[in-house]
Amino acid sequence: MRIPEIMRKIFVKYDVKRKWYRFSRSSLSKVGLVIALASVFLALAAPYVTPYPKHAGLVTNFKDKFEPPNLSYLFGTDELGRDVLTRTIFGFQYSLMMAAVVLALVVPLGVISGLIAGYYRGTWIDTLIMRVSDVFIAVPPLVLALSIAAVLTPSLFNAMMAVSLMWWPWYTRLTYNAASGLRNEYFVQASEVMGVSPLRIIFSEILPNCLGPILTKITLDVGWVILLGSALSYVGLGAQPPTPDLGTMVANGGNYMPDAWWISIFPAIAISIIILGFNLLGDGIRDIFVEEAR
Amino acid sequence: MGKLKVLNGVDFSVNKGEKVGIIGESGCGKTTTMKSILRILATNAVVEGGEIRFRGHEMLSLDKKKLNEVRRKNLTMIFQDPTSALNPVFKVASILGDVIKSSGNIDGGKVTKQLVREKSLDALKEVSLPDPERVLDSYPFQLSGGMRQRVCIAMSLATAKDLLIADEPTTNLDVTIQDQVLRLMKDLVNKKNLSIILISHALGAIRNTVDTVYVMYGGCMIEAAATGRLFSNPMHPYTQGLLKSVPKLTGAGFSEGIQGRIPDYIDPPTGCRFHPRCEYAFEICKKEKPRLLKANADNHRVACWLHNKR
Amino acid sequence: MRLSTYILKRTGYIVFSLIGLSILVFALARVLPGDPARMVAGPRASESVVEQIRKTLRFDRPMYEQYFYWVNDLLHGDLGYSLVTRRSITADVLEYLPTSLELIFLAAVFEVAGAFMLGVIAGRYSYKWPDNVVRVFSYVGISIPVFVMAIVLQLLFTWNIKIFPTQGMLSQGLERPPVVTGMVTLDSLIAGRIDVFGNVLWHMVLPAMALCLGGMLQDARIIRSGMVENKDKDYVSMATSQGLPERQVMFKYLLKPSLIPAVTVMGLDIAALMANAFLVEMVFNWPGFSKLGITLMLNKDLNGIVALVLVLGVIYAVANIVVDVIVAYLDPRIRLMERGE
Repeated sequence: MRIPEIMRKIFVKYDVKRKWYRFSRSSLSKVGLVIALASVFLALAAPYVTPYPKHAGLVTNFKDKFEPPNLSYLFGTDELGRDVLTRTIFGFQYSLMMAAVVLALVVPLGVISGLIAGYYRGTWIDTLIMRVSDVFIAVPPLVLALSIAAVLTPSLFNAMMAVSLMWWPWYTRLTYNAASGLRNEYFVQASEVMGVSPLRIIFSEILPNCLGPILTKITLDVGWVILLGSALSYVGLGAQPPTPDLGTMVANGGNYMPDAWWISIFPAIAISIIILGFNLLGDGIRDIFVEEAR
Repeated sequence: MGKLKVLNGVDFSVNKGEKVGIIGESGCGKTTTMKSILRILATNAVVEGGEIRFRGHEMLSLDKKKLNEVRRKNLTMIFQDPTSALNPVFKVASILGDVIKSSGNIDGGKVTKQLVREKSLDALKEVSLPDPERVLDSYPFQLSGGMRQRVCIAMSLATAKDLLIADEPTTNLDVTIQDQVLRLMKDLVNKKNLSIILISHALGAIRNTVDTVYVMYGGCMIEAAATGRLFSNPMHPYTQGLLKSVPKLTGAGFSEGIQGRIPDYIDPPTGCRFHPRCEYAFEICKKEKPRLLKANADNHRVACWLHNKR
Repeated sequence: MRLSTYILKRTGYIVFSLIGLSILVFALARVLPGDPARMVAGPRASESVVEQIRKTLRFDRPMYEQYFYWVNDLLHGDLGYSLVTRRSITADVLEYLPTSLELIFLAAVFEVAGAFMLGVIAGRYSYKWPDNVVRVFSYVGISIPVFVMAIVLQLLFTWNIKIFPTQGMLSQGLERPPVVTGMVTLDSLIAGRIDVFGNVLWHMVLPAMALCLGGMLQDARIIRSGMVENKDKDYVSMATSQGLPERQVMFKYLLKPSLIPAVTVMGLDIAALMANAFLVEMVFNWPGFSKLGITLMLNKDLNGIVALVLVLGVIYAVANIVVDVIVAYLDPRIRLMERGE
């Protein structure tokens, strides 16, 4: 059978068994993994696992509006009679999608610029890249995101762009710190002496050794991006109604507090749990790499 | 993982004015024993039994207040690594000053900053530190290793004490400094009429400094005798092996080591902990731990079934 | 190097970053579609009026010239002319920013004090129940978004258990004291109105708590880790072996080195406080820069947004410098070793 062969090779090459041991030593990390996987599953399977999939869109159901949580509507209904549970689960879709898109844009850009700056440390390339990224770090993140989003038309897409634009320098900085430390190691100098091209050195020697902090940050960032995204939506600059974005739902529900508290509270709890899950997961991933550093 | 059963019945004593040395290889429990006396073991360490008496006090059951009093007035310890023993974010003046202030007995008068500073400078001068003013106002990382150790010694002896415990005080220093520091310590001990427990795995240092020597292995004392006697007539197989493994300048080829390794403290050997490595081991060595008993006249004690009478 | 040199270096570095930020923000605002002069004049103004506005506000000049004039104005304290509120942005900022600052300040005080207490207790009783409680709560605290925290606190303590007022800054019937600093707490003290002072504080407590809780728990955890890590270090054993009193050992010798990583994080937290204040103010209807910001954003007042971002950037930078200085004071190795390393 071909597949187990490939699996075994991967296990050996990437030392999966040991990494899993280190990861699973903390039960909190395992909890995080479960939550993260559950969130992804819900996001992907939303149309199939929710009781009222149509409520995620433009639907009105006035006869059932403002129902408190009961047996047919587990999380209650909102002002248009839509099932809050369904919309919350669809909300997972938007949150995770945002995280995926943002990170897909930001990580390559940030990491590559950080690697280049780190390798050419001390030259004008380094100064240029780092000064540019410093500019973005000079302002509190939320403020910058808000302002960028503000000058654009409010929409989910624009919110993603805004977050991406201000997020990449953090990866640059992280990678820069890791890469510039490695840059003067003997194994790098040995390759240089042998005439290996800088490009190859960067990608096959320096990058693999930086992976630890980068992977940890990516995991933790899923949580942060979702946090930032929901904050933007809450303010009104992200996804617009009727899109079931978690932040938007919380904002909308604020109008009906405290009586119809369930409209805000359930999406709010959902956001918190997703973020908690990825935070714990991120800690676990950090544990995998910490021991290697010794 | 498991519990490390490090100490296995440690028997020893120090008389007033006596200089005692403890030799043994790394990991045999010397530091742990000393830390038990002052009760500064790590937070997850436990003393399971036995007693430690100091001048009539039973150290292990002393209450906090009395314990601190004993630490201030009677006992003091010098650590192996002077760099980690000095708090990196405080100036020497601050650390030294606190010790002097807390002992409270500055010639009966009021404790003023001026007085504390004077006493600090005196303490530094006593350890032959050049430019004591500058040292006082520096941070530990600005001083060299030898200077840091001298500062530690100054701190220990700044106020009157009865017993000085020196845990491998020169091991982390440059070879050229080691001798100086050792000699300094010996002078001070003599001058102030202190008792001293000197721990080292440098046999030469022990030989020159102390009157009585204990040999420690695997968490217990296995031999004890007057210095001269121990070196000329070692009785325990371990001690014999130890002395044989010191290379001699008078050319006798390579020295031999002792075969085997130090015991695993999670699952230590039964009976005498040395038996797996001992060329003379017999049945009883595996079953029962020998006690530290006199082998012949003259206060030479050994914990070995070769010599213990049954 | 001396502390003062260190401060100068850091300041220079931050000024440099701010210059870059101003260019970025400026470019962003100008690059977007739409005619700024028209936006100022309004849709019904005639062409000549628009033309006049364009000349006065210099929209017809090349970009770099605009930038130059803009910076010049800035340095004279003129933040520009808001396209929406139709008055000087400086006046807007001065009206709304101080109230935000006092909220942030109170939150910062809560956060530092709280983190300290919780962290030291958790460190002292490490691995026992106070420690475990703090650790678990810290995970939860980081994960809950600020506005969620605010909403939950509001629900619990203003609706369910009516301890604190739901919204706003002052109860009905009370008026703001005459403006001296712009901060209502200080102004009311200056004006001698203790009742107003008390009332404002009562309104401030809950929003400040919402702001700082997450950060407080996170900082507490870092202080706790530092203490636990350093507890078994030699210099602590040394101090104990000298017979120094336990309290002195803990609060002087153990705490100082343990604080260093915590203070660094607290610096980042101040940035978070500023940004999060925005959201909390919205929930509690606190009249701070969030009110200003939202108006600007929803109306696309580019001038206003640019100016506001820059002001916040400056405050953030100053806060960062203060934190850097505190860290350098705590850990002499940082300032003394920068030369050779």
